[in-house]
Amino acid sequence: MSLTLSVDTARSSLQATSEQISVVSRNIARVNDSDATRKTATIVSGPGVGVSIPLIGRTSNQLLFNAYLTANSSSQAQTSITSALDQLQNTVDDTDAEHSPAALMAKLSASLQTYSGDPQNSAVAASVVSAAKDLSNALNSASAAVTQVRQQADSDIATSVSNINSLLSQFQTLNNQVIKGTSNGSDITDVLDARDAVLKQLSNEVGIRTVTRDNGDMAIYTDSGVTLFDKSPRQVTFQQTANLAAGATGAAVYADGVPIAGTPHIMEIQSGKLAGLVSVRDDIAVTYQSQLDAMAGGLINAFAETDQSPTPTLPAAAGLFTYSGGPALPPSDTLVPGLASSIKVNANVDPAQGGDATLIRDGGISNPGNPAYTYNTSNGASFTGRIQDLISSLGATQTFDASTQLPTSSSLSDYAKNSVSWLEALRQSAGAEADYRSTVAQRAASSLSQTTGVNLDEEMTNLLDLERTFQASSRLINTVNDMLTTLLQSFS
Amino acid sequence: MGLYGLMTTSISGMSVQSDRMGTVADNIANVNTTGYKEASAEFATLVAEGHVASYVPGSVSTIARRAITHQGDLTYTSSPTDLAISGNGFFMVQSPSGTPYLTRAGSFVSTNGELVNAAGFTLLGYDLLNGGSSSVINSAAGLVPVGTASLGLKATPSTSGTFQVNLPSDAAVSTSLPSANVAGADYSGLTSVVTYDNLGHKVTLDVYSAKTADNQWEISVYNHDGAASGGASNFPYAAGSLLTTQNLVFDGTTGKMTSPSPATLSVSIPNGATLSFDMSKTTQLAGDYTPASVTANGNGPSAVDRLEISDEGIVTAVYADGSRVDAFKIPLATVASPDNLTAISGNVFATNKDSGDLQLGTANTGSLGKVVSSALEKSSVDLASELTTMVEAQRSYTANSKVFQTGTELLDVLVNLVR
Repeated sequence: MSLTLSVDTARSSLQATSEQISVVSRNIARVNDSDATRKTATIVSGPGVGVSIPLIGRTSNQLLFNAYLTANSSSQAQTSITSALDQLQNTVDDTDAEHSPAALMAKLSASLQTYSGDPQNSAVAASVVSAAKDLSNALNSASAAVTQVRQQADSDIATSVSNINSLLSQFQTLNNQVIKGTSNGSDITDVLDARDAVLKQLSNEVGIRTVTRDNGDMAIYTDSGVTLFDKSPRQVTFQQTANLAAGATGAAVYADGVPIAGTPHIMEIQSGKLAGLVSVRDDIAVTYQSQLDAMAGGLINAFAETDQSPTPTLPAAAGLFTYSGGPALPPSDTLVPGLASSIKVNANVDPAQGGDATLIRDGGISNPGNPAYTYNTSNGASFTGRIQDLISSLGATQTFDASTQLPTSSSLSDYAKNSVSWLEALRQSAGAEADYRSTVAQRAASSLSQTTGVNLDEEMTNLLDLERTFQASSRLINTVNDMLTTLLQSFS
Repeated sequence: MGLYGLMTTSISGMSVQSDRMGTVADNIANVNTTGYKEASAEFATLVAEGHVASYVPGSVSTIARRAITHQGDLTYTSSPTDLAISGNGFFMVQSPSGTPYLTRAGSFVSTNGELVNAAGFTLLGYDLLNGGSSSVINSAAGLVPVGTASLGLKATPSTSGTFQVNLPSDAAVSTSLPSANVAGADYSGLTSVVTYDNLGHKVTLDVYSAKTADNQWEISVYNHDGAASGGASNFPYAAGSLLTTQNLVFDGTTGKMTSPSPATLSVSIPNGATLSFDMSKTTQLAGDYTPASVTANGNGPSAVDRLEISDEGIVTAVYADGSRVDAFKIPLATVASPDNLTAISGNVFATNKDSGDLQLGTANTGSLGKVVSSALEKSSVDLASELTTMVEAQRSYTANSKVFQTGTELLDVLVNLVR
């Protein structure tokens, strides 16, 4: 009896060893896969004679994994903010560059100065008009760029939401396999890896928190506690806005019927690409747009013309700069959304559109036919009163809307410079924050990989050990075979 | 007549040795038969009447024995329906014609929804599901075939669950309570949990938590089916969707719940059972709304995936969704004298007068052994000792034949006297 027992024991050892070798080969095959964890086949003695491998385990570290998910979400949020700010910054450039509103404002002021020294020269007047056109175009294009950034963010939100929904439905398949595998004790390590990989991808889109239950089941909540997955995926919905013109509000993102990002929101998410994109769309870009609108409003008001009659009866009207609502003036200290996109040089003063550039000197741009707005009543060729007025009102301190996050009281050119430095400061701090967060995420990823990943040296060492065990067990079977042969030979 | 007696005796000696060779041949043939118990030949003398003056040789007879109580080694397999008994006892099986037998050969596989072993015998057990069948201790009455055939689809309605969240103590008081069911409801947290009704439909409950005053909260539970369509906000729900509301009061010092006590939330699932959530670990601390453990039991309809068998012989049906239900109990049978059971083809045994009557009991209790799943009991034959027995029998047979031969020669001598 004991001879056959020895063979059984050796055979169980061979089986266990070959299973271990297959686990080692699985590990080695996935050595470059960052989602792969190290699998281990632990040998236990019994049941009965010999050894067996009751289950294949994997090295995992839930704490490190959760830390990675959090760090990754937070880094993704900041990255999407930074890239939007970079895009905005590219359209604005610094205060000295030719197409920034601040530089063009200085240029307009300079050409007015030149004009005041040479008021008879209509060519100089035309150059004032051209500087004014450059400025209004710059504001138009900056405003278009902001709209573009918001539109892009809105469409990225839609992509992100559809990613979340498809990841959640993938998660359901894998989660069901894990539950089933846990209950029947089969090897689910690869499914667990795949499920973790889905969680990693999900953490790119939105900050998540997970709860694991006894049977391997996992529930996913957003970082604000809204259910994303619990036995079945919850619907995340978002209505993309076709045209996000200035002043238009994008739709909110709903998860499980709760508004989690956008306006209004109840359980607001804190991290993930989605949070970053919504903050770009509804906060940063909107603030920058309002700064551009305030600049446009300030310009129109600075160049406004008033009734010059001895007893003024007519309202002030838009002069050199006007907008879609002209000739009436926009309110001076409250925002008119989208003003920057509609500001333009009055056609009455633009030679290219049949206007008369000298109206800058004389006044009456708003209504050339109405003498009430004419400043140069004597029609003197060297009249500079109006030009001097314009220069001083361009440099005068104005009051701006408080919601633009810039000093409310400053000159128009200072306001333009402040706007540039606001954007630049925001971009720098966001960039630094993004660097910091991505470093944290990389550190979390590398410590996760060090703890749970495959180490090739270790696997090769194991392989050598296993080879020896296999040889020893085969040797044992050989010996028992020899002994039985001896017994049978005793008959002949 | 002594010489004839001597020849008869040696013939009986050869005859019993060939019986013994028969057992050896049987044993070696069945060296790998699951549940086989080795046979052996024991001998008894048959003494002829004689008296002091002359000796009349008797003869010898065979008594075949089977070491039925001899435990075979267990070998482990990957099939959970391969069963072995470690210790005393037998499985109850029935032949295709319905006769109950005992066996230790447990290589059962599911055939037409019943567990049938390699020799074609169906495993018997008590039905635990349909009210349980009456167990009769000394007969096979009440035993039914074990298998998935009698287990159909199953749905379990949700009856209990946990609702353990942290409600943010610093949250603002709700401006529009969810229980009012109007658009724009204001709440601190929503957690949805999947439950099941009697038919196994998924019923998703939306559990809203809204602060009504300092340390006071209102929980409103809605049936998600009634949520406003359009994909955005759930509010307003269709009429009748509000399943329950519950007011909670927390201790402002410890953040623990003081009312209701006991801290449960009862929800009557439409067309289902009353689900009782345990809320004893719900807290009100200065943190975010955090669902720590929100679960409910119950299952949608699912079919049996496989069977699991415990040490005590309880057969648990594991459904495709991971839920488990105890479906059968496999009893172990024993008799007063197991070694006297009658062996019948197919590794099964039948009771007889000598063995005593059938007694059924639960595995792993009393003197009965335990049921081991994913294992088979190997044949109890030891090859080496069979080979030695064979050598011994061969020698004894030869010796008897020598006695016969000598007797013949002596008769020859006698016959030649008269020539």
